[in-house]
Amino acid sequence: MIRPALVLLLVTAAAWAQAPSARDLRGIWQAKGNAYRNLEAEKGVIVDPANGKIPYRAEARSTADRNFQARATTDPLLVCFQPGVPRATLLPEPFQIFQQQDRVVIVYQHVHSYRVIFTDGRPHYDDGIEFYMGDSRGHWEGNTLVVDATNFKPENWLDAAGHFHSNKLHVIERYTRDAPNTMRYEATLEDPEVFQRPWTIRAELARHTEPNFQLIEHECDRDAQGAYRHPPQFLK
Amino acid sequence: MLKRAVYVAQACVLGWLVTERIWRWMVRVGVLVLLVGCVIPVAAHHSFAAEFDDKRPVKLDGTVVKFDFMNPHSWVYLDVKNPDGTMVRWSVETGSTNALFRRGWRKESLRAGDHITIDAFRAKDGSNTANASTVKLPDGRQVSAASSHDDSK
Amino acid sequence: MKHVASLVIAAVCASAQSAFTPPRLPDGHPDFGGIWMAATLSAAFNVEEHAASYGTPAGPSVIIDPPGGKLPYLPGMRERALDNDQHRERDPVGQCHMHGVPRVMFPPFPLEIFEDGENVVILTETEHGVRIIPTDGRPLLKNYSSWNGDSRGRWEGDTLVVEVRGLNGKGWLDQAGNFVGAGATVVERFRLTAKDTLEYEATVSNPAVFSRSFTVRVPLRRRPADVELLEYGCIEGERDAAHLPSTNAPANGERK
Repeated sequence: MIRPALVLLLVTAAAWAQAPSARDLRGIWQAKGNAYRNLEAEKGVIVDPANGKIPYRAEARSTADRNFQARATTDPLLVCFQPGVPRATLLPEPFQIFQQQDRVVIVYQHVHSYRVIFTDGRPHYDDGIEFYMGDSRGHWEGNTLVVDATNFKPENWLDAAGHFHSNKLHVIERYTRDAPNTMRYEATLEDPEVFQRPWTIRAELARHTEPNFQLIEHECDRDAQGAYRHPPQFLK
Repeated sequence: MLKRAVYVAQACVLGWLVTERIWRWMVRVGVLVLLVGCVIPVAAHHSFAAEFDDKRPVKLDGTVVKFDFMNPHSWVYLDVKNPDGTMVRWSVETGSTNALFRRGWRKESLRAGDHITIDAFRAKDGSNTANASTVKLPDGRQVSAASSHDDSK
Repeated sequence: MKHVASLVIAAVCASAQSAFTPPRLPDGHPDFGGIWMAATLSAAFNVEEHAASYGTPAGPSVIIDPPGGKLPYLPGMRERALDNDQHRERDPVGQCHMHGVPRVMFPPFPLEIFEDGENVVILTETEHGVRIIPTDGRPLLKNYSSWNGDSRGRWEGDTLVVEVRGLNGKGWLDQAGNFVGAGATVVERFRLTAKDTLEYEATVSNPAVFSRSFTVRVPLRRRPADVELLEYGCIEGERDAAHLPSTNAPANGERK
């Protein structure tokens, strides 16, 4: 009676000792679900406002509708633009998180984009430069990595449905590993030129646990007409 | 020769560092700093010779229509008046955002309406496209365009 | 007494041999972390010795083997390189492709290296390129074809040795059109020889292109502490293709 209990105790203790600390986000992760297709239409993605609708300014909603109509040819992702934030997190492709003392680095398999998220308190760049993947600074609140991203290029989309932003976009992400192999991801978006108020999305990320799993190279190439295209194995 | 290149490269890095520090306290284009004799070559995207002709220099004196601060090259779109009074739109390529940013340029460094002069080299395909060598700003300062060439002399 | 003297001499000699002790990570391996850039920037333009021309700085050969500093091309292969040189519009880097190995290690732009005990990661500013090099002993991928290769690292003392396979052979070796060809394999060696110097060597083998393997050496110098990599989106803003001879491809960056 005692021996099996002891074994159970030892196994549990060993498992606990092996488990990474809650602030260890390292590994290869991928979003569950289909938020990447349409942040509004996919259920449960937008958690604020409660009606699940992006709080566009009136004229911006017209632009989003126009984007939607033309999405088969005008989505920047189709012609190999870097995906931006939070779109990069939600794509059906893995990304790898590395943690160093003063920075967290996220490498996305999708067109090998990466973000260096400084966690040493250094300030953002001034507004004289813009990036497709933004400029990111992070800090910890308990076991949540909070990332503040600014300095976005204006000509990018938030999903495949044409939802978009301006260069005034400001994203606050929250990464919380709530179990050994899952992470809760939240992103609050504000952009006074496009949205009436901030709004928040949520997604679940799952760790890739397959043995020897690694990111593979996803590089675009030009087609016969000279336009950049994704390789066939990466087309959904 | 290599040693000289290293010394100049070190001086260049120092000059660039100084520029970076000064930039934090300054606004916009009036204070872009000249970096002469900088031997750090900046062509990584493509070879100058693939597209441009160093035997066909051109001096473009005109008004900025648009400045696209971007990679792999930034672009200045310039309206230039010909001797006969007609206007020609030129597309002038400069260095990458990264090279320009480290020399103190920002996305607002050139604005529509700015009167500037660009020393450049024409594209081989005969279009009104050129690769900038130096830019003379509205306030008279001459700055490197961090373009795909080596300033060393 | 004689034995003690020998021991003392041996100890003094041993300490003189290891002139530089690298900073170490908790796992005991040298810490290569930081922002680096090639010390011999001319190598990006031509790995062999070359004179200056407009747009290209002069430079020495970075080929340390074979002696003589020339690429040991098989008959007919140097002609292909010279043809590339006459058609630089074909340079895959000009088409925003990642540079391949070893070219990716010496562009005139910074790169960032860090280790976490399981991987060595190299981020390059150019083409927002990435090399993730596992050091955990996992096998290489099979049937893999890529621009930046598939890499595995292991430590030999304080030297990081990286095996690179899976290169697609489409990349150039430098801007002058030298190339390594399909089926090339590379072995790299990284060693800190001073606080701010990371010695980089790459031995390239391809019996279809070269009569023997060759080795390039390009030391990397540490950049000042406040240098950060900046995003280098290339495809998004590519506007040169329309002006390059014989491609006549529409420029991707003109979309509005």
